[in-house]
Amino acid sequence: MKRYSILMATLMVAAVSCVSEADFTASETAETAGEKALMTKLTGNTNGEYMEGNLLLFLNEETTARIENGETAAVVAEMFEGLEVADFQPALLSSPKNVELARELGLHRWFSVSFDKRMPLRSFAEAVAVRPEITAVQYNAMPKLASDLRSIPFKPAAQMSSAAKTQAIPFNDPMNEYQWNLLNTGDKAVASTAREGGDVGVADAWSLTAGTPDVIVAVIDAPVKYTHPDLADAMWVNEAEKNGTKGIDDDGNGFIDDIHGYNFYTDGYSYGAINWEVQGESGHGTHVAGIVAAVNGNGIGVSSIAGGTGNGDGVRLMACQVFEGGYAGGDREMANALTYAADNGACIAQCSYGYSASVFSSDNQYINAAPLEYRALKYFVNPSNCNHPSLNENVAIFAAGNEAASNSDYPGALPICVSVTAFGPDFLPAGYTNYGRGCNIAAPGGDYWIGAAKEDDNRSMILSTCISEVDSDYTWMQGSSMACPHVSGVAALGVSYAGKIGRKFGEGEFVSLLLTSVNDMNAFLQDGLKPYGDTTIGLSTYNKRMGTGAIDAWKLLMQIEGTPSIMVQSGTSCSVDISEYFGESAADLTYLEVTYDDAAKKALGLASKPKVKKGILEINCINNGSAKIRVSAIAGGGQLGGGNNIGGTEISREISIVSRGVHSSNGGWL
Amino acid sequence: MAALMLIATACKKEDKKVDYKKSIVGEWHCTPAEIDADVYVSFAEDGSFDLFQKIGEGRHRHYTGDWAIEGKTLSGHYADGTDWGSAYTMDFSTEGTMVLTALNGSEEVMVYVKEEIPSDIKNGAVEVKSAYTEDIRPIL
Repeated sequence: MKRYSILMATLMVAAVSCVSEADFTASETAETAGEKALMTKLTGNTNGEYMEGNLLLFLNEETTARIENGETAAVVAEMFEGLEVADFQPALLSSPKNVELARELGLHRWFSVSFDKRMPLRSFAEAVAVRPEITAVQYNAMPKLASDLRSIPFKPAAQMSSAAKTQAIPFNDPMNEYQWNLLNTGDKAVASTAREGGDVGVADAWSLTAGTPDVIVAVIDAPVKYTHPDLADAMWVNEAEKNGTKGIDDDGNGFIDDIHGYNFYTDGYSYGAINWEVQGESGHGTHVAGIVAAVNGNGIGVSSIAGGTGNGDGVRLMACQVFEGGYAGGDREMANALTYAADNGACIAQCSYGYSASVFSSDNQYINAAPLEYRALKYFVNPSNCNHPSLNENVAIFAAGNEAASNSDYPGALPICVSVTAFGPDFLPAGYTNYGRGCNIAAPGGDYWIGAAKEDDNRSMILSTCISEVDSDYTWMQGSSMACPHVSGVAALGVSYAGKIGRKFGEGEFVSLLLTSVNDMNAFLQDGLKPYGDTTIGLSTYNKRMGTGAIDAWKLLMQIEGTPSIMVQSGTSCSVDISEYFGESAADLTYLEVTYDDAAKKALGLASKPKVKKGILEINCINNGSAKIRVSAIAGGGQLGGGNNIGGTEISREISIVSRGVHSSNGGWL
Repeated sequence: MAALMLIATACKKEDKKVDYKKSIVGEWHCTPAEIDADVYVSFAEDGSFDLFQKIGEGRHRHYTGDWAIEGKTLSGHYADGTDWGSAYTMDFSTEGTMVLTALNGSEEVMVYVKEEIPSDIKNGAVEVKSAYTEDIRPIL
């Protein structure tokens, strides 16, 4: 597939920017006046790559209604008069289940038109942009996977002889001794700079849960090899299709034979059927899936974060293929995968892809350029589509990107998404990882460049499942693509545990818990250098810019169990550490405000408004009593995302205050 | 006047009778009515203590440290060097009960009942980093 240059894309934008505000923006979908105004100028991704022979069109309500009333042929004849059109259909392959929300978001007004790829896209866009029925024209922009796609086969004979056995992974999967990402013992055979504890903090968490099958993680990525011996039992199964008739949409969800998911890559060889045997396939999706939920305790291969205990009790993986043979789907494919995931039971979207950090410099630019994907994301995370009883809304988790840039890729940078940065076994940022604005949290992503033996030994990277047809059943890979599924896996564990203990979260509460269940990295990012290829990176560059800290599964489960009240001494001004609520890097967060109601003010006898500075709550209670206050902060950076910013996500925690006559500064009772 | 003298005499008598260092040794449970708290504390003969407290939500937090008695005043500090929030006067006048009254001016009174600490609380408690030097997780 030929891809246009950045310059060409920019020229085409200028040619078709003739939409009007009134026509384009479904008024009910615009959230702010700024967003509404920007959307009127939307013409597609101006800097990235896009599909040839295909445009996405946003039609006016009147024309959409005509199509819905069966006048498609007439509409096509009028709109494309003089043009040769190969295909015209709704951009979404199936009407979303949540019809009301889909219409509110304007998803029903998006259509895809395909034409001869030899026809210059610009010419076609110019021709259709003048039509009154068409409110906006969008290039079907393509993001990229957040990995260098370096996939190095695991060689057991060479590597298993010298590795130090990890001690506390409770599963009999033989390769888990190489998974420092799950349990980092500081083994110098992994890297001379390996740091004990620089992992995902899951070893202890497994004693509480290793996942539950009611938690479904949609892997929106390259194909997941659902027959892989370490993944087959972890796959989501659409029973109606499995037990139905081949070639028939047995469950009536609009997709035929979607037993474990679907291949949304419409421009490929095997549209519909998940296919990992295409030339150029990297195994990326299968690798990512294995990090989340490769089956634990089955005596083969690797262990995973939420792969259960060997009793069929892990979380489930839904394969949503949007890349094929190294080629990326566009906005349309991503939007279809997100709406499918929402409509078919996924509560976590695991998305190790994005538009390079240089493509967009604000939320509005992204929203303007990828409106269909953005609205599909909003569809996925809307509370009305929530797919787990413990959650208030589904969670979308993205890789921060691998351009070593000082902001996250999009869509991960959006406040409605979690963006994940990467560290190596030295518990330091990997040289490739993006960091800074829009980045929310860090996780193990691997670091080839600090490996103890770089030629044949790649254990400083991440070991996971892969594709034997292409490479091997198990390979080493690295990237924020690999960091992202660590957070998805931990999130899946958290949802599983919440379900197990009957915890129900409020709006935004789960993501707030997720982003505050962290270990501090900033203490190691004051100064110094580390290798990156033929050069080095300065660690201070990353200080306070890797998100809220490094994800810790145990801490998440503890927060889900409940966070203790903070005790203060009545009648005096108290300064108390709130890191139990905001994570080990609480001192480095930017705090927004402290709020409370009149009842709390009265119960505590608040003499003045409490404040938070550097992770310390300053509060003065006159009365003995207890009440709750709410503290909000920014997860990732010093400013919130939204509008013309790239920034962090607002998180908030409800803190129980107990005011009594005795107070010890470490929170002890006596 | 006679009654007052009797009380004073009785108090003196009790002071002489009570061996506070001996009486405090053991495991105690405090569940104050006005606060959502569940607190167990074990005072050992060697002057160390183990405190398991659950204030509000979550599981019990485990603190350690040491204690000392001078007269009928109990004081102590945590393993991280932090002093207790107050010293306390002790009262063992009711069998199986220890009443601690804070001496920091608040005069807060907490009643502890002699009660064995459940093993699930001992084993499942979270070690408090600031009070223990390391973040050690429970064995479950």
